[in-house]
Amino acid sequence: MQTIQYIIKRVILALVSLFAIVTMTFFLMNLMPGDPFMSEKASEESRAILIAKYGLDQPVYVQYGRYLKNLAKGDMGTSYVLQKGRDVSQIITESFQTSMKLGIRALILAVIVGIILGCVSGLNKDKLPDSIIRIVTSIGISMPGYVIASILMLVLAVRLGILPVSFNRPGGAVMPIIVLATYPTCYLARLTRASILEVMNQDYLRTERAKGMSELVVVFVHALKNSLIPVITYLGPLTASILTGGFVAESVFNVPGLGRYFVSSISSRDYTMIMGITIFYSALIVFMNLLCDILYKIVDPRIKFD
Amino acid sequence: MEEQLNVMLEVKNLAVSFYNKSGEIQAVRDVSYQLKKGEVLGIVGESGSGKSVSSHCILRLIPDNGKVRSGEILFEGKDILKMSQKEMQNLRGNRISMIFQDPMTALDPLFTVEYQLNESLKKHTGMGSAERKKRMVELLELVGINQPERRLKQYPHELSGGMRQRVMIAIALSCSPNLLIADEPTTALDVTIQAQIIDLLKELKEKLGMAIIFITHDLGVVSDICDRIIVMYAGKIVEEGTSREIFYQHRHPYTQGLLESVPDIGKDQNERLKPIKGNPPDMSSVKPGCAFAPRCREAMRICVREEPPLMELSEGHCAACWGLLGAVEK
Repeated sequence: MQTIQYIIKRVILALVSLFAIVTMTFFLMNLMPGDPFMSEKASEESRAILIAKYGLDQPVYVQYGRYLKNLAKGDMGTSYVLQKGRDVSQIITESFQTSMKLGIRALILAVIVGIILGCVSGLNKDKLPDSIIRIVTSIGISMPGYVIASILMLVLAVRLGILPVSFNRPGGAVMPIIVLATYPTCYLARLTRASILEVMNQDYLRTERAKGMSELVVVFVHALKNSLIPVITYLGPLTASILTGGFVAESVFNVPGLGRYFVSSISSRDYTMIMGITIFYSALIVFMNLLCDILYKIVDPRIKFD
Repeated sequence: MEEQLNVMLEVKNLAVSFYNKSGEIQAVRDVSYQLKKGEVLGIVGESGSGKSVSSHCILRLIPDNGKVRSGEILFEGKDILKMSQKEMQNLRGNRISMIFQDPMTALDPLFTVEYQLNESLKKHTGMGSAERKKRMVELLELVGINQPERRLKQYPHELSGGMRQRVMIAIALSCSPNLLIADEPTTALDVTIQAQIIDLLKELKEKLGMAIIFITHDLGVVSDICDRIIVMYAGKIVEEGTSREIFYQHRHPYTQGLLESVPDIGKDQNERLKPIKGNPPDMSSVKPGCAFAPRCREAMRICVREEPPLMELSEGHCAACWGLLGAVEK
């Protein structure tokens, strides 16, 4: 009962924050110089006709009111520029499927490899494996995605020729997945390491040893479960960002995913697309955070919903 | 001969050091004692006296940077320090079990009482799950927890400090150990709860007949539970005797000081508590002579030059103090 109440409360709060995001994005977007039809090689007159057709000549607050009204009906409008005339919601659904396919695989990779690396590192503190993992993860965290993407392309595709550059060829998803997974893997490894180190000194592990439990039980049942609590907190936003697609990975590898559309919608001032993707992205983050908080509660009985 | 047979645990010349960046810290220096079946031994001393470390060694639970430098710990004739990891795991929680100082942190917060109790029963006994469940309920009743079925389902954070320590005791007793090591089991508890836990331990000792090593810094706590008491200072035993001897016929100035610093409700209200002046010595640089000499009211010249041996004053009553030389020779 308490849980249901909590979820309802969180959903209402989420709607409020989504409303704030919609409002802010809408007005900020309209502050950008230019309009969706700037790059059209059309005459001034035909541009004016297009602007009038989409109602962009009206005051911003009128446009805002109209957008909200349509949004309430579930209508996000049609794309102005990128896929002229197609429903924004349809484009999002389609491109999100591509992003999600990549994202889920990257997420699984990051969680498994990251946690394993973190454990190996934490359990071998200051020994060789720990030092190597710490150096590698530091590099992985500080290197920007486009650098990793370029190096991978150069080495794996151009020099060695074992993977295709194009996303559409077989095996084309490998490099984008690696690029998507690099940062979260390294971050998770460091987070898990720090968390394991803290947990390994806890009294309850000594109790477990004093009970005669094997080191395997002490580490993999008690220490690991306790040290994954901070990791779970990070999983919410991570899942959302990875599922919507790395802007960089998708742009570099030309993946027709949501991330790439987000970037290009801004540069081409495709107003309805910017709004649609922003709303979708925010809703996903809010939802994933809620999911994580519930998961958090399941793992840690000390957490209370209030 | 019979005396020998009765000895359950024998610690011989135990020395333990910790190593850190600044060097070696000698936590335990040449400690020897015996424990008979069913006996309650108190080990008393200030923080850093080596009382906890020496007893954690019995279960080989000292931190990674600690090392047993020499000595033997014979449990029923077998040297614990030479046992394999597997033998050790079969001993821990089964034949010898331990309860710790802070019950607030000694239980894993993410598992129910039932899970944590069940773990050791499953490991050490051949009981089936229904039998284990019955045993768990019995154990919680034994340590004075009411509504045991409900408590089993609860998590540590849902229990009070005293209750958690009772759960810890239940876990420790689950496999009917021959020896229970209680490492300051009441230090982190309220005074009223302290008394309850001590009473519980006394009652359990009567009922179950196990031997107990009771570690504390508070002489007041051990007075009526212990048969014998060892007083430790700076990693060494400074006095050893029966409870009676330690309380009424103590000979070491440090024991005297400890007893004087125990508050007593019967004392004159205007009388002030007498603390032992000074601080315990820095164990990273052990100086020659008696470690207590710099704080001792009765220190003589020999005390700072040479370390006093443990001298037997009467059977079973020993103390390490140069001031007793005359008394021993007589």
